[in-house]
Amino acid sequence: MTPTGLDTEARPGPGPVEEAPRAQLSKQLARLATSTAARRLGVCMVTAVVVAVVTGPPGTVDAPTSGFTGALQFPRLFWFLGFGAVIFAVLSIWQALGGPTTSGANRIRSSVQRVTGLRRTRLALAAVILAVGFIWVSFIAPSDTWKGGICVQVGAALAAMELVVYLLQSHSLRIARLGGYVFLALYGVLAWTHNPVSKYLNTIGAVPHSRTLGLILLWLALGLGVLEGLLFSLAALHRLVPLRRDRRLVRLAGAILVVYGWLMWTSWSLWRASTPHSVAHWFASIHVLPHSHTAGLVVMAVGAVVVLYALAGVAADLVRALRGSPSERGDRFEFVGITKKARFAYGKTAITIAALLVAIQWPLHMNSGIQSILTTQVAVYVLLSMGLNVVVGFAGLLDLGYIAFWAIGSYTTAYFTGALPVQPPFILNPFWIIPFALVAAMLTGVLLGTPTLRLRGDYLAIVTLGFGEIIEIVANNLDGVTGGPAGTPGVIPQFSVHLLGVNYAWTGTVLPYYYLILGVAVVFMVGFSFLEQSRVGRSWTAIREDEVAADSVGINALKYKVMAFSIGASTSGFAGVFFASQIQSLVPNDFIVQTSILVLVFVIFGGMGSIAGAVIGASLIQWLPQYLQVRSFQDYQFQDEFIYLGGLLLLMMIFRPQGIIPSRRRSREILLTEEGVGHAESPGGPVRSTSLGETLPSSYGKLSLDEPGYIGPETK
Amino acid sequence: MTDATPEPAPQNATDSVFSVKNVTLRFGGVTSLSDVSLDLHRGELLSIIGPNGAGKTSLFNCLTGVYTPQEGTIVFTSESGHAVSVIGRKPYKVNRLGVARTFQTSRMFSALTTFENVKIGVESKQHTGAIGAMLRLPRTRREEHESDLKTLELLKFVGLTHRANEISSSLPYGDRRRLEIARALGTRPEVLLLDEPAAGTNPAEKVELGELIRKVRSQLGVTVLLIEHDMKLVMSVAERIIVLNFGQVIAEGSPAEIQRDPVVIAAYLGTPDSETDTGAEVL
Repeated sequence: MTPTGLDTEARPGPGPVEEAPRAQLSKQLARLATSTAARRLGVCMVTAVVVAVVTGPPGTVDAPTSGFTGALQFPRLFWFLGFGAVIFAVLSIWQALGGPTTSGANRIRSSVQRVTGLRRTRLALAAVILAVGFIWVSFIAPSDTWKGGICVQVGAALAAMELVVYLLQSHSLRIARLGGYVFLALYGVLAWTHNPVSKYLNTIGAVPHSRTLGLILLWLALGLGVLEGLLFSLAALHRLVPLRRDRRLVRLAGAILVVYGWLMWTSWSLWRASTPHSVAHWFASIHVLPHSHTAGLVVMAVGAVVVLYALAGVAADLVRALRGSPSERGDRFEFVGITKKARFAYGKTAITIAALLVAIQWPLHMNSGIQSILTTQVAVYVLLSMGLNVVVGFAGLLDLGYIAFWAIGSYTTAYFTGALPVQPPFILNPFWIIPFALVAAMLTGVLLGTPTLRLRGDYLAIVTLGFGEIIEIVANNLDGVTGGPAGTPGVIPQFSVHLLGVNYAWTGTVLPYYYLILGVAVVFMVGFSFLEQSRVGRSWTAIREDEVAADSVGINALKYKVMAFSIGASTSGFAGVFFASQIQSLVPNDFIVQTSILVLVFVIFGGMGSIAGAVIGASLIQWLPQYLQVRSFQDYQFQDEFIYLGGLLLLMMIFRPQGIIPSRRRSREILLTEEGVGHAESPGGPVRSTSLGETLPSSYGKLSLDEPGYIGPETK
Repeated sequence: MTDATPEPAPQNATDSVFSVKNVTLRFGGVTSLSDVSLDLHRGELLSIIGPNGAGKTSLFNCLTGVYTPQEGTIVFTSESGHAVSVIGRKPYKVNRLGVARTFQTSRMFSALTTFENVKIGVESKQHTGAIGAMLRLPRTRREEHESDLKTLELLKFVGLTHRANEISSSLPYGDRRRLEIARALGTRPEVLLLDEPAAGTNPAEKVELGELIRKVRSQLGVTVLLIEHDMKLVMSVAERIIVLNFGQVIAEGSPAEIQRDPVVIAAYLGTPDSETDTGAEVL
């Protein structure tokens, strides 16, 4: 392996004086080239060039490489390299101030300084991104303002996040959240109003000028703020009378339903009476509420029942509290804080926010070809990749037939929409098929997993590989049921909603589908990250690292493995519903084994066990080849994809085995394996090394309880 | 001995936590345990000693369900008086009965922090499932909170609070042992089986460890079964000692009795051709 600078210095042996000057020079050069700084500079520069190419002008059929050369013209490339250098500088300063890899000197430095130092560099980073955005808009691409606009937004969002983190650390979670709402409201106001500032921001593409969007954001911020206030007062009430938390939530839900129902009802009647100056009327006019008499009454009735139920519970609680039952008293919900702090990772959140801003706005500015690639080739695969990440990354199980569950979800959709030769007992809207597809895929997962997960990892891979093949062959040959190789005879309808006065169908352009899947993906992302940081996620890690020890603390390994397997399966089935109703017709060829391998590559490439990694892996690998074809690289053939992917994987395994965005736990495991201490897969051997404290970056999970960043009790 | 009550070992069967009768364990032709019978009484601090290869760890593995002995019975009686056979039960199920253990070579979840390691033990008896965890339902949060508190309490008990957020594999040996004990205690056991907890620790850590073991028994009321080579520790901590040699119980009694027992001395000092010199230094 390449020696680092430290190693060569520490190693005794023939001194460098005896060597020839030329050899010495080349050695020094080699050391310089392999140093972290040089590597970082290299990555920054290469990324800058790649970004320059990606954002460059498209090529034409006559001159296929014109896009490429256009992208790398002198002043343009210069700008990008400059940005790369700036980012390199910021990263270096960040590190010098005590960033991710802390040296001994920094460790001595008090934690107060470290926190403020980090804050300064983070703010600097946000400022740089903002500046890049403004420069981009003003000098580089004045015609293409949205790219700079997104940059400006990301910078502003990071700055806002910094404020929220500051509030979180110095005050409470509640105040921090309020700070976030203020920013949300500010954005809403800028989008909504006409003033010089918002006009300017609109021209540079930072804030869209849309009254609807502005209003939605404003109401969202207001609503969340009010909710926060309600929760606060409830918490205060809770201090006086200890109530059960679920009861409080039920009561809140009921109250919201009652208010919503009342507004729906009155808006209808007031609409009829045409009295314009009323809250309800105004709500109706901005389409926040549908105006329907009956629906309003129904919602109100439901809300009233819920409230009554909760109040009855409250009364019972009160009686019990007055009687002084000790179990109902006491500070059960006071927050300990230690896990909360561990759960909040600044970098992760920052990347997520930035990626979300890009993911929301980018497709708006693309042509329909790219929009459809993003939907059918990227978004669906992101869902798949996140599901497989649970199986492979969290639980450490190698599943090579993952796509089979996708097929099951897809064919379930086709069945219940009546698109298959066999007719279902009832025909459903794709939305209502989701639970069926989930259950079908999950059941298959449990049935397949329960016997095979008792076996060791390699057998599971073989069994799942076989299962994937079986599903594809069945789909191909069971003509009477699946329609055979020709595909489904009927057309699977697209998503549509007809509920509570809302009528919407996901037809026409592909963009609404994109946003639907994006929304679902975000929900899954949040859910899976909760899962990772929960009892279940920790149990998976325990099983992965040392099954014997996990067994000895009472963890049923088989149960958790089956759980992971079926969660992955149901996510896959879920994605199948979206795929089927978007593509409208299924062919067994969609579900070949290569696709399973492809999704596995996404997960490995992105970083096993890391949700962000799975998303990035899927987006990059799925998007890049498509994009290359749309752009000037017409020599690129789809058939060659797996050659490139194989090469990519080889390089990854050599240079970055933990993936692009590794999960903390996984990269620790890989580090330990390289140290010869354990094994990245289960079952871990006995641990011998004691020198790990020095080799692991100190930022790994280290946090002392008296650090200012420590979050105290939630409400004081 | 700091304990003021050296109660005589009660011999009635209802009071024993583990009742091992005529257990024989073979691996192919090798007999690891032959006709071993012993009782672990509720609330006592029993130590099992013996030269290397005497079958101590095999006995532990039989008690925790890792090995299934070919002959004999092992009955675990819980505090509620419910008696169940351990034989044929999976280790995780034995743990749920109320039996926790540590390992001879420390087996932590090395990529997790100290806090997380202990928390896994604490959480193992909770009920949060995947759906509850994904949606962060009220029960999930409550349980998370409860296990946080319990974990902190345990870390305080074993004296690892200051290392709560360090990765477990960066801990020194003595702390790893204490971490393992905390993790085992997190599962709220009635019996704690310690497999050579002092291996690889320095003298100062051994003293602390001895105190911790006594504290486990006196403050938490957990019955302790200890395998140990370090005679100083065993003699200062144990109330009763059982000596195993070649898979058989060769002696049983109080530390003072064992130190005088000629059979034990012979087993440790050995006949001239024996090479076990562990006992020679310490007895």
